[in-house]
Amino acid sequence: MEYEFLDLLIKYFDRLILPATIATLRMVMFTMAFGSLFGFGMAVLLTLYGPKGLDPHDRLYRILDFVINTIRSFPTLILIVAMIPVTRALVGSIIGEKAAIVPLVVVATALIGRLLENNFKEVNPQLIEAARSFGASNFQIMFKVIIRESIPAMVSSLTFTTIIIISGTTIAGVVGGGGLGSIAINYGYQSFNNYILYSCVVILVIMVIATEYTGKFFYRRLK
Amino acid sequence: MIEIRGLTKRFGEDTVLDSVSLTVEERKIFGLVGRSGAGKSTLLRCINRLIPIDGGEVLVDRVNIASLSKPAIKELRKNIGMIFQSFSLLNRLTVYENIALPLKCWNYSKKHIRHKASELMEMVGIKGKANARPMELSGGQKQRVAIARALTMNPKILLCDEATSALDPQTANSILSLLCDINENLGITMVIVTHQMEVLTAVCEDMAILEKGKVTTAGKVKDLFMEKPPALRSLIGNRDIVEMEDGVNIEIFLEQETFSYPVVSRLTRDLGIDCRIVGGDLINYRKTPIISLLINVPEKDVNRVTAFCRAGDVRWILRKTKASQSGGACNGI
Repeated sequence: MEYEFLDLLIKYFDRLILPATIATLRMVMFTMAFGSLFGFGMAVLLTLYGPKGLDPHDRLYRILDFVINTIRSFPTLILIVAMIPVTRALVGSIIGEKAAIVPLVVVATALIGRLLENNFKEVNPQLIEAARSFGASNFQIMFKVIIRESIPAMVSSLTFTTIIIISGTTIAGVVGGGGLGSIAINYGYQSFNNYILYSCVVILVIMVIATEYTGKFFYRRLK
Repeated sequence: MIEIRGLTKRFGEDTVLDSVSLTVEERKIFGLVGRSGAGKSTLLRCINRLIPIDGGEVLVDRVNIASLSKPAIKELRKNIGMIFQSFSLLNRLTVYENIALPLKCWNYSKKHIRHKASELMEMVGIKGKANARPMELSGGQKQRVAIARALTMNPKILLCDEATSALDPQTANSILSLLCDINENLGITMVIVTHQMEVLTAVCEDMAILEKGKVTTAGKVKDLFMEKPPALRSLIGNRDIVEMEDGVNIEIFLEQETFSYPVVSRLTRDLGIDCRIVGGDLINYRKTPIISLLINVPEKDVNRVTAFCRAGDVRWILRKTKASQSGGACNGI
């Protein structure tokens, strides 16, 4: 019995679970890389053009705000399906890792954009006034004051988003995205194979804990 | 240096500043007082154009700043330092980095930044704290860092917005004497907004009182604190004095030059009149105090007493009493 369990574990681990874990990690990393980049840009624009921003621009802000709210109101699974035409146009396929990353990047961009915007809003407005008083430009205030002061909060926001995206990749797995989500469903749940199903769960739990821990570590270092 | 003419500022429907006019002379420390919400801080922010101006003129070095372009406003702010009640330091930066920030924004060379920052840190007395973060500093030290930061661009004007209000009295005094030294040594014109009268008398030479967006009284701090016009009295409150049934109250002021002059005993001896002391006060004006003594003399001797004061170079002001009943508004000064 003991022997059988280990044998199974090694067999599944080598051929299924390990490659799927790596695929999930890869998806999370790429999604977070692009999502952070676009989300950061989004947050900078929101902070610049916001009603109480550095250079208020009502119409631009409302457009960005609307886009983010719309994306955020889609359930992830629906968004993935709804974006199929876009995904196909961008990566030429609607299944596999690359195809899964496209909608996930959209989700991450909207989420990070909003979270970072809130982080930036938390910066004491008197600091911004002080920076203005010594002649800093809006660009300098953005990068030398607001962003520098919000780095720890930004780390928290990115940690939070990473965890959301980890669970997002499993949803993407269901629609052919690959990774832990898809083997948990296809080889685990649908094949009545509890070894695979629960191994995936355990690995996901470890990933989330590791992310949270890393995030906290950097938060403390930067605070 | 700074000349404000008919300055008006509205926030929506509210008129915060209503046709304010005043002049701040070069190298002087100017105090701006008033109750909360009188528009002091708003007025201060018009001087470096942190907020747009709705009407009137603000002349800084003879240039009207009401209609400057964006780059010109930046250039203007370079010449005007500002410090705040809450210090406004970046918590994640060290003391050195905080002081260096304006210089970095203006793209100065690293060498110049290092030199300027260490020079300023020494001047404001926080030399050993270069690598400390604001969290590790006391309130007074934080304000010193803020002062150093405000001086990095060698400004001609320093604006202080309730700079000592968040500090305990002793620390506030040390910050005030630092500001005095800076004014004397660097010749920087200062505009100080405060609601603390001690701050006003301790450092300011000229002052203006703002009430509901209007300048009600302006002049020399020394003169106004002696004369106590109604606007000032409403800020500092009435002083308790002993009311006499008869006689006239005269307030006599003794300044540094007249401290050694035994005015009351000379007065009674030389003029042969009786005088009663009904009140006294000490005004801590800048570095030298002023003694104010309220005496009550018989009505018939008033002219002789004033002539005596004039001869002795002693300032005096007639205070109305219940007995002399004219106007009555000045009861209790």
